[in-house]
Amino acid sequence: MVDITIRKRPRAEAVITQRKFFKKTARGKIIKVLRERYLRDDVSCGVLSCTECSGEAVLSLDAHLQHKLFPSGHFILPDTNVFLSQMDLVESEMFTTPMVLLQTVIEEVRHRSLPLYNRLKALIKTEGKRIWVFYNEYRMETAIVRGEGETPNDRNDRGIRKATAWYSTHISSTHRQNRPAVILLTEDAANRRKAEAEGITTISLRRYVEGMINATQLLDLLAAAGSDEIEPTKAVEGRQALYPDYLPTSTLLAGVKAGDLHQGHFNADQYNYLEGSVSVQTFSKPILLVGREHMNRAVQGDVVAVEVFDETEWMAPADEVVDQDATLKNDDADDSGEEEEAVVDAESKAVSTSPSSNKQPTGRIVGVIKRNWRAYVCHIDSTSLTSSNSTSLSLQTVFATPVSRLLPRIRLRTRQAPTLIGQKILVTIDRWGNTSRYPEGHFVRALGKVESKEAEQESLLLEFEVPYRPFGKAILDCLPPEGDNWVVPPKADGNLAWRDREDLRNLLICSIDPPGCQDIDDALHARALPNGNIEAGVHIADVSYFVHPDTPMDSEAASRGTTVYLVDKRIDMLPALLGTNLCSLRPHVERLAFSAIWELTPDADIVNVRFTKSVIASKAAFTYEEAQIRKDDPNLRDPLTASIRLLNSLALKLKAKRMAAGALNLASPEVKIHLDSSESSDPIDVEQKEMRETNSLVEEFMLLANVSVARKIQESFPATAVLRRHLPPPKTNFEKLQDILKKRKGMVLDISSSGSLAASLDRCIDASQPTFNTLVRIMATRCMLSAEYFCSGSVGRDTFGHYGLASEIYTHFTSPIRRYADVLAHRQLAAAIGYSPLHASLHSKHHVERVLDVANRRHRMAQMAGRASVEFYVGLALKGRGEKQGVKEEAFVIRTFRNGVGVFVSKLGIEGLVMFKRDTQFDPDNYTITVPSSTKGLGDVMISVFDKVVVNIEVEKDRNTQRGKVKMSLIEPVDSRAL
Amino acid sequence: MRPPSPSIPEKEFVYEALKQSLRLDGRQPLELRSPRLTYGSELGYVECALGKTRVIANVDAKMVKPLPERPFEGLLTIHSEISPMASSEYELGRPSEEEITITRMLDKVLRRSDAIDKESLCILAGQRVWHLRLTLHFLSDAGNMLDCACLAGIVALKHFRRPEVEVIGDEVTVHSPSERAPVPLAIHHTPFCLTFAFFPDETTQPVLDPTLLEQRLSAGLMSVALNAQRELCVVQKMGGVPLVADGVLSVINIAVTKVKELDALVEDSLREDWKGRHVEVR
Amino acid sequence: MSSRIEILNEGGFRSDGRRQYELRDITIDMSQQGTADGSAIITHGLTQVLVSVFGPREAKMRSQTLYDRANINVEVSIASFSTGERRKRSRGDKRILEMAATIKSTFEPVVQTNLYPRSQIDIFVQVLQQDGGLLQACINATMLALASAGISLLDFVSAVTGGVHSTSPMLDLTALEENDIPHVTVAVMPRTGKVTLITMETRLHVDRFEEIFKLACEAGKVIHGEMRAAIRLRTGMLISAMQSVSQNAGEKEDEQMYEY
Repeated sequence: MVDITIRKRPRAEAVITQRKFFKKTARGKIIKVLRERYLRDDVSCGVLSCTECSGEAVLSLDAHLQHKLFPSGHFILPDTNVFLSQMDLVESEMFTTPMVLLQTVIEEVRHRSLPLYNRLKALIKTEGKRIWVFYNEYRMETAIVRGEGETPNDRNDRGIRKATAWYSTHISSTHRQNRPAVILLTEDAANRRKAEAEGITTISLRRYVEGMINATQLLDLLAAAGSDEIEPTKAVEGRQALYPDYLPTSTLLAGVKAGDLHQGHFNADQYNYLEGSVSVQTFSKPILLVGREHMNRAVQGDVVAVEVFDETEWMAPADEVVDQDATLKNDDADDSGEEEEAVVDAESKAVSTSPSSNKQPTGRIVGVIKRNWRAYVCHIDSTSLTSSNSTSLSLQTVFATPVSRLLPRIRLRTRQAPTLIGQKILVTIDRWGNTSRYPEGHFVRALGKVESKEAEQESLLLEFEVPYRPFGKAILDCLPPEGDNWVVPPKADGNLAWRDREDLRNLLICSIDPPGCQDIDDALHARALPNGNIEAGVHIADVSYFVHPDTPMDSEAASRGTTVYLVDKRIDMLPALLGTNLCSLRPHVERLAFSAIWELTPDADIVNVRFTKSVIASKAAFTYEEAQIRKDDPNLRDPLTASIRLLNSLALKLKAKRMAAGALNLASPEVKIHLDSSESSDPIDVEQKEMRETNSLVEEFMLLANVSVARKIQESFPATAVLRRHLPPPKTNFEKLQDILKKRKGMVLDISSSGSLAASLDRCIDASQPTFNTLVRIMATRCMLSAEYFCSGSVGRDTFGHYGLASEIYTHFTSPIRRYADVLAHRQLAAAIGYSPLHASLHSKHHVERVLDVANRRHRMAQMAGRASVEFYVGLALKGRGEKQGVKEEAFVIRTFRNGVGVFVSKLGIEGLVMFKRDTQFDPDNYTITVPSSTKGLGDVMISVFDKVVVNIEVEKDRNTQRGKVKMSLIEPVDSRAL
Repeated sequence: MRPPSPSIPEKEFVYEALKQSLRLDGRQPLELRSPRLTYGSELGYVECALGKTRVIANVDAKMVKPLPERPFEGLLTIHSEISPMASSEYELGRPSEEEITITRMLDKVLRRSDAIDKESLCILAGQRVWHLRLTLHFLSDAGNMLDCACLAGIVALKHFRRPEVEVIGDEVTVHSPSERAPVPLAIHHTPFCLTFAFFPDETTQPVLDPTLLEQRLSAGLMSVALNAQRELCVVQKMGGVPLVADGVLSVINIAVTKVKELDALVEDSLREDWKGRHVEVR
Repeated sequence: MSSRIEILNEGGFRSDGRRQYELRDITIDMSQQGTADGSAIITHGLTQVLVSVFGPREAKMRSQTLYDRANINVEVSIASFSTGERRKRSRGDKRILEMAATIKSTFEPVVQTNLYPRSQIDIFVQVLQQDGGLLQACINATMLALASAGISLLDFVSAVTGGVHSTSPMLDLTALEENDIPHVTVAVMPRTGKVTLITMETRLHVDRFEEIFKLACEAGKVIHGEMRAAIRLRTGMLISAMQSVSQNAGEKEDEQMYEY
């Protein structure tokens, strides 16, 4: 059994053992706190062979006789400021002097910066360092009380001096010969003066290091701030404003109206957290915001008001990658009022951009018109934790690092910080006051362990705001009561389902979809007509039969906007009963459809088109591959195969016509994930998607249907037709790509029209690099605007066109199960053919606009979510493939920075960043950087955009945030790990 | 008005029987009356019965402004006045000592044990949080109301779902539970309370889940609240017969095994109820 | 703020300079307080509690008398200046009522109530200063006050708190420690080694509980030693004071001893 004792405390000691102070509570009340401490005489000094102190000891007497100034051996006793400014030096392996670390110093470091404190703690435990922690505040002789009018800092300095003096006397009383000196190491000149007056040996760190045997190497590590005249550490004196105040809302609105201010969405830069931009209509280039102060607390997605500076102050975006986590690693979650010099330094270095030619309008944010804060997926930064003790119940302030690089770190107050480490959590931003460097937020809930599939999947959905919760009961009530047993009622007079429907059950209709498709929206047929023409039909699931306007199901579908496809999960827009069963045009069952039927000449010219509600019975559901094999198999002569061949021949002609009209053939990096099995969903491989003829077959007919429907509904409802357009990209978007192509490859990109762009893209061929053309197409795609839904009455007739498809009008009609815009198009088409009256809401321009805004946003988010899901699985696959050393892949350089290059790995469809620790010779005008070769003796190597390189790809977990990061390093032409 | 205490022959009969490990209702000394859980049509409404002891628990949620000193946390309040309906021992407005014990224990077992994650009840810090109200109605007292109330309370909290809310900027949208499926509460762990009764005679074994008569004749109670993960939340033995240290530990070990059974039973019953409900559609 | 203080640092010291198994300073004052039949002030570090005991005497309310034993009545009041933040607690506060009930049921089996039928023993607990270990101080002070009132007891009762920081147990917690770590209060009867009271209100694993529980039982005995010494000293003083009254005054040597 352990020894239990009572710690007796003589009454006379009360002055030094009790401490009284006042503190302010969260509610603003001032309360008095009384604490006591017990002073003891058994706190060990840690010197080996000390006759008075027992217990373990690490400070040996004979050590360190090499120092020039102290030939008889010495211990050092560093002041707090040594650790605050020179941690790198002290951490060096060459810095091995035995050291006495005072409790006062540790506590001061802890109070000033938690991350530094954590480094200090790690330092104490490091092998080879001889550091003794002396608890001076608990030792009778060295404990002190703060005097009247004394600042905490002066009190600590006095305590440190007292402890140093005690050590000297203690050592001289316990050791007769070769007494080592105890040296106070401090950067504070005032403290040094006082110490000298008290007869304590003291020295600055620089002078101390100069006397060491390996001074030359160590002096390199001495931080610049380590001059003699450093300010003494000062306590936080009131919170100072770090950001300018916002202007009042009325001023903002008036300013925007008058054109003095500009309104737009704030976009953070994903490479440099100190830069952001706001796109406004006045300028062709977005307005650049440089530095924290000018970004003035805006968060990605906020609607802000910007003031633009005079043209002479315009800047170019920085050409450097500035990583928030790296720059701010020593920042503290508490006490934001204190601006640490180091951070300011690092940041001011990061924002000083080199004068470059491509200047952009530059400005600052003067107000926020609307915040768009929501819940963000984050990780807890483990170094910001005060106590990682899992039984601790106290409230802690920690940093939550969002998964998205576009967001700042969020300061979070929570009671469960220790249990949240290593989990993905959801955090909402509550406010961002101008005295706080970071926004403040609160914990919403935990999603689960990092890298568990459930947590990653859910966090992905949340990150892209995909509504994934199950449907509510009201929606259940909107479904047919028969449930799975619903069938098309028998064709009898007066049956409502059959009203005005054509019976197409006898047609040879089939569907062609990707493998495993359950929500079959579309089916096709074609047959030769007696007059030599061809009848082709596209049959689309009749979703509007089940989903009526103004029902809970309709409004839910409208707010979901689209079905979201992830690698291993589908988030439905409509309940599965409809999507995968009642609406889905499954083979061998009767289904309701909305059909578009054309009469085409053999040259694929449209003779006429009609639209009708119908009942069909699909004869087969093919995958693209099956359909392709069937079509190519000369032995098959059945009518269904003939119909596919007929469709295919028409599709080829349709495509040729489209291309002639100037449609673009763009490329986006699409890869496919092979899952092991549906249960385990472990990815086993990644490959690029294969395009077959049949893909194109389906695509052409869908385009045809969409265009035909668009014409019809625009004719009938010119004010409110639901259409889709793709605006031609502004010329400036292509400037950079054109410049790169010209300088690096001598190629010209003609962007005067979509047709000429298509033609010049076709000419961008580098015989030595077969994938070069795809790469250029990918980069060109990024210069384009994205297509969007719009209401025909809201924009001018001349802007209806679809640039990419080179069509003057377009809509979405063919996938009503998974896109809400298509449902609207169905309703409008039904009204246009007189099947049913148009619901009042679809006559309202305002309503249509609002619904389409949501659909546009959801569509964009769904695409990004899908891409992110692929990326996650690519990461998993990479991890599986190359356990330790990573995977080597070919990659192309797509961007160059001062300290790194952006690369694209086409085989995996991912983009990455290779960072160099040292600056390189960077030529921003020619998009090249020059780096020294990794093998000695060879000259420098130049890397430029479009160069093929080999990279090593690893998935690495960030130590603090547990965030999985794809880390890339160059292997060829140089090994970047040495840089 | 105090009910008459058991007569001397009755008392001695019970003591003698207990000495031989016999209980009047035929249970083993360490056997729990098997709880019966009946769910109402609303989510968060549960009636729990231990033998003839019956308690109804009901949870509802509303939005309130948070306490100024805890702007990031939602609230959970427990309302549990014992009405004279349960037994003539109780009076309205004048809490008896037993009632204070039950109220305090409920507070410790359900609220202070951090079973419900209060931080996730925050909607907009400092502005809006969920306030959960757990109301307990004591219908009849046939002994061990505390365990019955704790069980009813925690099951009601597990059964309850709150409406989904969406926050963008400082706009809060509350989705009707019929349109968006309501969300279950974030529950850290599920504590159950078990009460043991000790008798004046030292050789008599303690009994679990005492009936009213056993409770009256006991010389001390010990309540242990813990979860299936072997974490104790509350241990309470307020005076009464002194026990040897090992006796205390063995009682706790019994509680550990009993709670595992109870946990499985509750989970089964909740799952069974969920199957019959149409709250959400995929 | 409080999160900046380490509960147990790497050197094995707690925030107030104690080691894990060291109890805070205990001072016991058993001098007469007003008209009380017995009273005691105990301090555990900065926690200070005064208990006055009246009785056995006639019950104020007839209905409360029991025919075969004494009725124990406990009232607890917490001085509003006992914590840094002044807060008035009403007498109907459930936590105070619960504490009173706890003290009552702890002492009911210890006091030989059957020796005082139809009478009442009033115990008034006044909390003067709080810094953790409130229940422990209340029970210990009540014990001493009952002893000084000369009421017959079956055994001694001594209480102590214990807590666990991560996996390290520690004893006699301050308010700061109580707010941060799970803790248990245990009251033991040192003569038989039996446990009469256990309360724990925070989440703790069973295995950890077992460890701290056993440790607290041992610590109770240490506190018992301290309390017994104080009672002996007090009794010794009283006895010799009585002797000195009966003898003629003027023996200076003795007087000096009593003044201690």
